[in-house]
Amino acid sequence: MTIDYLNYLEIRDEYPDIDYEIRGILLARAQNGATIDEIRDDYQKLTGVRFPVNENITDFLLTITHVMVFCNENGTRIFNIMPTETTRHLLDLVLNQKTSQQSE
Amino acid sequence: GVVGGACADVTQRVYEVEKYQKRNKLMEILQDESEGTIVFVDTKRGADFLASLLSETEYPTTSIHGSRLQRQRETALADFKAGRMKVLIATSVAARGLDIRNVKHVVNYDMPSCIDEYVHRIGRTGRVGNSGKASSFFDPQRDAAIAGDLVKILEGAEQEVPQFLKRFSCAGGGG
Repeated sequence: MTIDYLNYLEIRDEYPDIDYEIRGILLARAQNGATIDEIRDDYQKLTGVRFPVNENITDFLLTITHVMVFCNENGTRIFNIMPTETTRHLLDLVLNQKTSQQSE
Repeated sequence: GVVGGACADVTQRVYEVEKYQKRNKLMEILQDESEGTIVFVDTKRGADFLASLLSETEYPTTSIHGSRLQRQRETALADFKAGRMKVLIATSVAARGLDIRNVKHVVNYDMPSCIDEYVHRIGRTGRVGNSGKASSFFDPQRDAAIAGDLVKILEGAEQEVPQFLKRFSCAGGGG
């Protein structure tokens, strides 16, 4: 399977900040990782716009740099984010903060 | 003392901004000057999301909220004070009890629900003879209840009261 960044050019034309937004969503949930549903839900809540990709969402998310995914024991795909130079300090904070589930 | 009295050295601006326009408005405001800005938001996740976006795009930004350990809050604050981080995003609860003073600019990205909290927040800027700045995003869908009190505070501090705020303050009645 090859994932082609070019497939999503139209999405990126229309939503120029989407890569930053997805990385921000994943960073805020980095302690537990995020499912596709959680990502879609956060996207809508934080931007006020419906998540613009309806098919092959995993493929799309994996065209965003520093995004990673694994399959958990239930077969659910859990997404997370690698540190980047500009966000490493925030990721360190999130990963080491209190472990209680965020309710908000 | 008089509630509004403490704010006389602070230039207070209130903008009418709808929920999902706030991010653009913040970017616009930060373009003038970003260093030493503390931004108050409602939710923990919103704080981290915004901090990540700002850090990736323009300004080194850190965050403080209720899930952070005390030590982490102090580290974030120290980074902010030393200028390693230009912007600090905070939820109000988490900012309580932290020594955050002499901030150049306070931004109420999400307005507090009570006026005492507003006064408390803007009291963090404009100390010891330095003039400070406070910018607030008033979302008509959400913040109408505080309009009347806000007008009183602005008038008491001899600040310009925007037209839209007067309108909401009348419509809100004695609430």
